[in-house]
Amino acid sequence: MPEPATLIKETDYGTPRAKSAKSVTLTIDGQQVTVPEGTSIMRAAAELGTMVPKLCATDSIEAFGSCRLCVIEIEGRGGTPAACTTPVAPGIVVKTQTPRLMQIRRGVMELYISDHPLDCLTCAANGDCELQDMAGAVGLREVRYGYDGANHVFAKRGGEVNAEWRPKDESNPYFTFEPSKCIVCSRCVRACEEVQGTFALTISGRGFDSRVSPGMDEAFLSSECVSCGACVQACPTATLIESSIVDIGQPEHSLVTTCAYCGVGCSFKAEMRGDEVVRMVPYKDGGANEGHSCVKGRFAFGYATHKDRVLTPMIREKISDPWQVVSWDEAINYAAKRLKDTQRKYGKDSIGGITSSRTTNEEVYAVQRMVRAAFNTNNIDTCARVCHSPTGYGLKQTFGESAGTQDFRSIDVCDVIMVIGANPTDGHPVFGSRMKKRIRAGAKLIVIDPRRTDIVRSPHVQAAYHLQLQPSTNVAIINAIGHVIATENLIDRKFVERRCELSDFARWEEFIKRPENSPEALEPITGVPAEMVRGAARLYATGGNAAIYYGLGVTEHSQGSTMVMAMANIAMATGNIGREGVGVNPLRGQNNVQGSCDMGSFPHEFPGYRHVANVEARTQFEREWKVELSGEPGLRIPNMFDAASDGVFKGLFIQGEDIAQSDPNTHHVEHALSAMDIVIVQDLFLNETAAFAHVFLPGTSFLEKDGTFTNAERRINRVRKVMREKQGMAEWEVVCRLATAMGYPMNYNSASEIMDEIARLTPTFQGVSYERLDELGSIQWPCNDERPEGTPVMHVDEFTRGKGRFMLTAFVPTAERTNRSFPLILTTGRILAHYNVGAQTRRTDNVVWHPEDILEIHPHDAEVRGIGTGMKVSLASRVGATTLTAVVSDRMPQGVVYTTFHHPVTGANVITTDNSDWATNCPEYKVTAVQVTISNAPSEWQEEQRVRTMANKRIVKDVTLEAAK
Amino acid sequence: MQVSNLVRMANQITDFFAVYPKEEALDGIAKHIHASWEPRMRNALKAHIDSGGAGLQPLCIEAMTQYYRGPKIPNARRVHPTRSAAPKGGEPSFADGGGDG
Repeated sequence: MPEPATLIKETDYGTPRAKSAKSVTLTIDGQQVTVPEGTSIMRAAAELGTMVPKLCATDSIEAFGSCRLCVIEIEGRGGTPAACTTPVAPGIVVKTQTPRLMQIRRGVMELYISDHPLDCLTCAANGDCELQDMAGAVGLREVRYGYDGANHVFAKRGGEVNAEWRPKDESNPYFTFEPSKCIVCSRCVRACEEVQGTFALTISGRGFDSRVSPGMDEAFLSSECVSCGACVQACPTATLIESSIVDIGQPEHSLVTTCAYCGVGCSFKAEMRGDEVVRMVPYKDGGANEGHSCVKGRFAFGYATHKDRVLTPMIREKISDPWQVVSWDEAINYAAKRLKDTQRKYGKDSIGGITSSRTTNEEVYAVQRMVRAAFNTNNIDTCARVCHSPTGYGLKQTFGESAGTQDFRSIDVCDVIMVIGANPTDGHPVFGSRMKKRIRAGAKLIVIDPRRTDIVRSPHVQAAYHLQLQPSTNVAIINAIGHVIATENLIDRKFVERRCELSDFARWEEFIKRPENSPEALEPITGVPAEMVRGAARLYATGGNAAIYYGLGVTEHSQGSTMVMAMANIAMATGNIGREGVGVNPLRGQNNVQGSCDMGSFPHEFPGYRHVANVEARTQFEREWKVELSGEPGLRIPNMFDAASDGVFKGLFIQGEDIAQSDPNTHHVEHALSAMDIVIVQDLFLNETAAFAHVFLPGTSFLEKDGTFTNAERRINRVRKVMREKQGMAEWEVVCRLATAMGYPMNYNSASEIMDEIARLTPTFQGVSYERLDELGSIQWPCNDERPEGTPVMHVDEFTRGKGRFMLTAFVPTAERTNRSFPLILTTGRILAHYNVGAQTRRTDNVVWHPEDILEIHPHDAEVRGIGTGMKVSLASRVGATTLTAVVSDRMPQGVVYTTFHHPVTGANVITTDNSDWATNCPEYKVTAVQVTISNAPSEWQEEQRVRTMANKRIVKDVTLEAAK
Repeated sequence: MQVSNLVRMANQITDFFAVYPKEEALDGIAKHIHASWEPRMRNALKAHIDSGGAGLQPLCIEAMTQYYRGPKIPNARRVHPTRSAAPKGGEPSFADGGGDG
């Protein structure tokens, strides 16, 4: 762990690491150095500790050679080449400092400074400015040119308006663009292209007229800029700088921690002044992000200190009562008493808990232990139920492990990328950028999605195939692809014979070759021309390393698990598994989806995916926890709601999860919650679910947590506490106290102790400890004696289950059908600026990009209904209705409408139904039959929601509930 | 438990396994339900089957009738009965769970 109270400064080597296996030895300033072939002289020097002066070079982007500050001399070669663009060569002798070089550099710097303001003392970058550093490094002592001539520095020149000068652009809420400080090094432009891949910036004009231009010389906010922060990160001056630095000043210490948003799990340096976060800066050594970030992780952390946060425990007898503020002890004892009363009255299995993918592994583990041991029931589930449970099931059936097969870096050697039901540029932006980078370098792209997402076509990215299928026909299309692979002799038989169960394979081959699985036969169902399916299948099977990346568009269907197995089938059939550049990879929605599943929060599985009926595993936990455990599966979330409606499930502990907003068929969820005797919510905010709660236990933001998150590539990253808990107690400690109050003593001294227990009891986590994590930075499980440093790529020599198992994946149409009353299909998704139910991002300036949920509707569907962009429309399904704003868009095929669920007032889940995946009950969010009509009034539910939200915020001070013991 | 939901879920599970050879399909359906349904749900399904099993696919009824009869399937091991709430018709038949394990 880095020493506290220091600011972590990573070395900037000037140019990216060269990947060659061949090495080259040369001499720099009399010292020998050996580096990979293709390394720049600048980087080689940096590895010796010699920092050649530079301005336009930084190691996140390719060398450019424009500033001419990094000039060097090479013996036997004429001139003064740039160290950044000159590669090393065997035996050359380089000098980085000579009187001639010194003079050139001073001359260059003098010119730079002659068109740069000298307000260093009041400049926001003071203390963190490379221009200032270089002026010092080259010994600049005077600027002979004066400031009277043409310049970009001053608003007025000789009493007249200076036409070269531009005012600050403060349109972006998170960073400021001050053109007068720009030295036109192009680092921002190149970062936008190379790192982020958005191409929002360019240099307009030439020579002295050159200037950085967002879009077509627009303000940042109205340009294509996605506010990822790469340009701000790359800028060597104060030209592009975080507005928080302008407001607060430079940070004085930092800690490395992990972002709490999506499943990419980026590492950030939380740069602090005291206990205030000044800025979050992506960490170059972060295994998942390698120095890149998106608008959420980089900037949208203000929710942690938002005024809406509730910092004191609260209780109430009935949900119609106002809240009453109480002490921790009172709240915990009250909760314990009511839970025990409920169990006494309705039986042990009448209560349960839900864990959150937004909390740490340690917190999830504590909750599932409390439920299994203190509640003594297996009624524990996690919000992963409603997103990636089919992934766990499907991959376990076929490969033997409930996790993605690759690390993110693996995509760098991928030749064919197949993206299914995922929108990586919005949902997983940092990985999306990496994907686009690989596509720009030549990898081919196949997209299977009903919607034309940005990855289908964006600057310098174009999908070779976009199979724009009808929602709910995933299995049909992947079977069609399998059919082409099997019938056109594209199966990798060597791989199959060596690695897979042959009887299962033979059966699959017979099944998939049946005519009903041919692209031609399925064309009327999928809506995708057979020839395109054939083309995509051939490309996937023969294009080199082929990898599948998928999201909730795969899992959130009635056949989600079937689809996961079908993808695993084609990966095995083509030998695209078990090495770098290939695999089957879920893009997890929330930061700790993988972790919450790993930590045993499925009702039928202990940590490490071992069934509760497995006597050996159960005995192990019984010994450690000193309690007899149930060997029967508990209720899943949707089963809990059903059981609650039936009156046999009466109490629920909900950790950091807003089920009333995020789970399908809101009416049903609300009905179930209202039927309960005791609902306990542990969260940052009084969310939608809290309206149905009797006890509110304030939670901590990721900035206040000590623990770990596990991302989509099974990477366990440390979450470090950068400020003390604002409500005074770690969340796992609250859980321990509640368990103890229920009569089951549960104690840990630290989060690290919890991880030690996890490692003791979970074979795949055997070698994980905070000590090891600090040593290695991060660890990808399985981590054990065999693989002490973790496992970036799985199933290399054999599958976890031994031989890979082909499954039969017959296409079964969903029960959700359109008819005359509900002729359209609604599918749901995400957008870049927001995250999940929006509880966090709505409480940040990210709302400037997306203030409300909108309904995308195809021009034809809009026209026959008289709908235009900006109109309010009613969206109704068989279960409910809501009103929102329409946008006419041809991203959707005709007959399909699309919306997001980031805002509670929209209540998109009022519309979604109870249909779910056959194997895991993961709800079918992606397919709902709906009708859209023009409307000008909020729906009945929206009116109820508005009233309830107001009521839920009532807090009284002087009433005391019956004393709890 | 709302029987209509259980019937729908059981039929969906049956739909998946229906493509397998019959013996395996019967086994797969029962194992999956055994491994992932809470005992009260299994009991409710049994009650429903006992009263005619309206709405359930025949394959599902066959699989579950066999299952509720108890551990008669070859190679099946008895689970440690840990609770009184185990399915009334017979103890669970498979120690390590089935499809979901």
